[in-house]
Amino acid sequence: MPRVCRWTTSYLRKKSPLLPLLYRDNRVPDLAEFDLRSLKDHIKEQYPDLKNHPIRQYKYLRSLCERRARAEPLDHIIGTTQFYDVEILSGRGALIPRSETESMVMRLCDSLKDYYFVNDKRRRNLGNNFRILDLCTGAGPISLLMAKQLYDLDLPYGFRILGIDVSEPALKLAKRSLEYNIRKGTLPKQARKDVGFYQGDVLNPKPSMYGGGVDQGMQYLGKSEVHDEIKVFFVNEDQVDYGSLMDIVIANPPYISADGYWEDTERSVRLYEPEIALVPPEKRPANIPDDIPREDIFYPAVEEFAAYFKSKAIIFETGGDKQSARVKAMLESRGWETGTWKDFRGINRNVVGWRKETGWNWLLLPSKNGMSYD
Amino acid sequence: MIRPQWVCRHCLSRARTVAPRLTLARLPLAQNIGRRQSHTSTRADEDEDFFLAESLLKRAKQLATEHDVLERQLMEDFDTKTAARAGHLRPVSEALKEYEAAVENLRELRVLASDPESDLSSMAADDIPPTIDQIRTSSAALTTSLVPRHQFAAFPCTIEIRPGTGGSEATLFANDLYKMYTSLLGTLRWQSSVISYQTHNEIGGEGCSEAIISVSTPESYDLLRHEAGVHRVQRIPATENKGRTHTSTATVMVLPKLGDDEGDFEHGTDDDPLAQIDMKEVKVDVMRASGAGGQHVNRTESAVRMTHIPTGIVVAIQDSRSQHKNRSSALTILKAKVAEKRRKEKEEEALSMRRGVVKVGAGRSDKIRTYNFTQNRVTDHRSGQSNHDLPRLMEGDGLIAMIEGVQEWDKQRSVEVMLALQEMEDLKKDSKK
Repeated sequence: MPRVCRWTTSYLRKKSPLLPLLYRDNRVPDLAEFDLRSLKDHIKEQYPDLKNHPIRQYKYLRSLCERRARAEPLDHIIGTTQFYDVEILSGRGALIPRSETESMVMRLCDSLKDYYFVNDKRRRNLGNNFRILDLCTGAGPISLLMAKQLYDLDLPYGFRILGIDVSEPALKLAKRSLEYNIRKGTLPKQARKDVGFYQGDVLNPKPSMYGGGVDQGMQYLGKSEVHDEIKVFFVNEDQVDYGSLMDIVIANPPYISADGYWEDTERSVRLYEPEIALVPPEKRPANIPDDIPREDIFYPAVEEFAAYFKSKAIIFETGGDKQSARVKAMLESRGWETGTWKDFRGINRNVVGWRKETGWNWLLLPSKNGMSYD
Repeated sequence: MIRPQWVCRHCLSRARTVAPRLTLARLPLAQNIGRRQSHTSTRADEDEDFFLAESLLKRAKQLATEHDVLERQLMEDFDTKTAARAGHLRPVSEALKEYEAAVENLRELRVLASDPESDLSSMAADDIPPTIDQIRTSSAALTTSLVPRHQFAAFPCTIEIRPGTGGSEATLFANDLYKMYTSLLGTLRWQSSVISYQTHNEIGGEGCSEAIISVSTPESYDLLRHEAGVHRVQRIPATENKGRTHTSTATVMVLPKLGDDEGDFEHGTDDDPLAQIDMKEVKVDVMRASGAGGQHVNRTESAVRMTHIPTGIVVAIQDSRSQHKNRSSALTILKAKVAEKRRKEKEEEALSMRRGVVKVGAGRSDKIRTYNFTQNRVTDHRSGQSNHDLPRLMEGDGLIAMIEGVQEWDKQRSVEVMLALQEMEDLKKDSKK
């Protein structure tokens, strides 16, 4: 690691003796100041009593800064991540939700608001609850933020969101985050029913205990345990036809290549975040062809879920322009209409796909409030 | 125990890639923004000038998609606002369809023509020039339909007529103009009311020193704004006793009626027409150096700074740890500030207009139109159109054709301006590459 410039450290030390500690990991002076402010706010909020003991308060603050100097992510120290409206608990079991993911969810919600749930009449005309499947949910940020946004829209038929992840500790965090937001009042109690989390492997779903693992169509259980769980969660008695069980499949799967993990990721990411959430497993399932690179193997697997449940749209986060192009081509070859969204760096971060007959080409329109980047 | 101040071998190997990041971090944020420039893909047949610029085409496609979406919404339930918006977008959508069909045609014809074995090759070759013409016309139509509407096109307006240079003869002519506009509004069946009409007797008829007509039909400003300017008259006035031709002027001002007709909304919110910002004019800086982003990086880089380039208003927000939240609140504040500034400017402008600073009594050479009574001719100096039936025109007959001519001219001019701006932007992009 290159040496820290002395001029910068002395400049920072003049501002606050704690700043050089925070500067050590991220190497951006402005960010160090921002981190310090966040930590101070955190202490003020969490331990208001310490106000009367300035020395103890300072010592505690310094201990937190020292943790940050050892590259521990700020969100782990504070314990939560602000994910737009909702707060997601953070811990070593799950990936810290990224701001790119936040922008993706918000853009989707804005588009839904602007072009799909346009007014009350239209919402009633839809005649069904809105269903979202969030694969590789991790600590559940996508599910919880979507839930919050959809509650604000006040849909007459409601909605259901199911988050699926393979990691037990991540799901534990997701469930705790849900409770945390209900306790804080950001989500209503109803969310316990509308949002579900389920542990299951997207790549290698366990065989189902019903029907001997033979798929008998959408009305019956039996394709696999994960499929069964999804059906049970989304089926509702009022629905007459099973044309499409899903409206949107959204996924932020692990997408970093094995080499990229060592080359492009930050030290703090490697040290404190689970590799399982970043790099797809080495052992690829039987139905994924060998010519697909390892970092891409989740995308076809998720697409299969979307195709099976006849989802109207599918939305992915990807690692960058090249991966987006590959995923886009994969979706196109499987009969989706596709497009990409840019993130704040100008990188093609998201790939969206929709079935032509749904007419969801509004997914590519920039959001009306000007928050999208293309 | 992890001690970052020591260098591990892996990190040493990375030192080269980290070094530029360090230098970047110290540079002012403005220089980091270069990455956000979008890249337009280059088409294979770009050298052919009759194709539209990529960026224009992209914009057209976006508008056409929006039109489709709105149409579908309208099929389910009708809403006047949506219908109006869809109506504005329809020409774009139609022109785009025509253009795309023509381009597709050309491509197929070329494939056919390049195949020497086929019997159709000569026929196809013959068909190419007319298809190119078709592309030209349809792309021209598309460009015209892409010209943004005037900011206040949807508003009603007021017409103010005042005599300019020329003394009592000018007041006589102002009165003629007043009559012309009232009869024009009558033929258009637009609702109007006279706010002020001050006359006094002159030798040779009734002179008018000020006339204000308020037109309450929406969108009337779009048509009548072309009438604003100095109108010149050349005739032998009734006051003249030696038979000489005099040249005098009258000033017509057309102002959009904003005031009470602005509608119900809170200032600075999304419904405020003055708070509408083109996001191309907003520079967004996010505190972040460089890198792959996404799952690769876990810093809380949420501070956002937005600059509205035309007005130079800057908003910096770092209240929340959520970047998107900071961005949306920055945008809200930016919009409110821009709206406030624009409102102030507008009020000042309106005030200065009302004070008559703008070209009242301007010289005879700044005219937009000449009414030559001796030659029985009216010429508009902008579109170059002439009408040779002056008495009927003064009764409001044929005036609409003349205004429409000016409108067409204005459209052409804004197309040129838009294309010039586009070229400038493209050049900038190229030089950045």
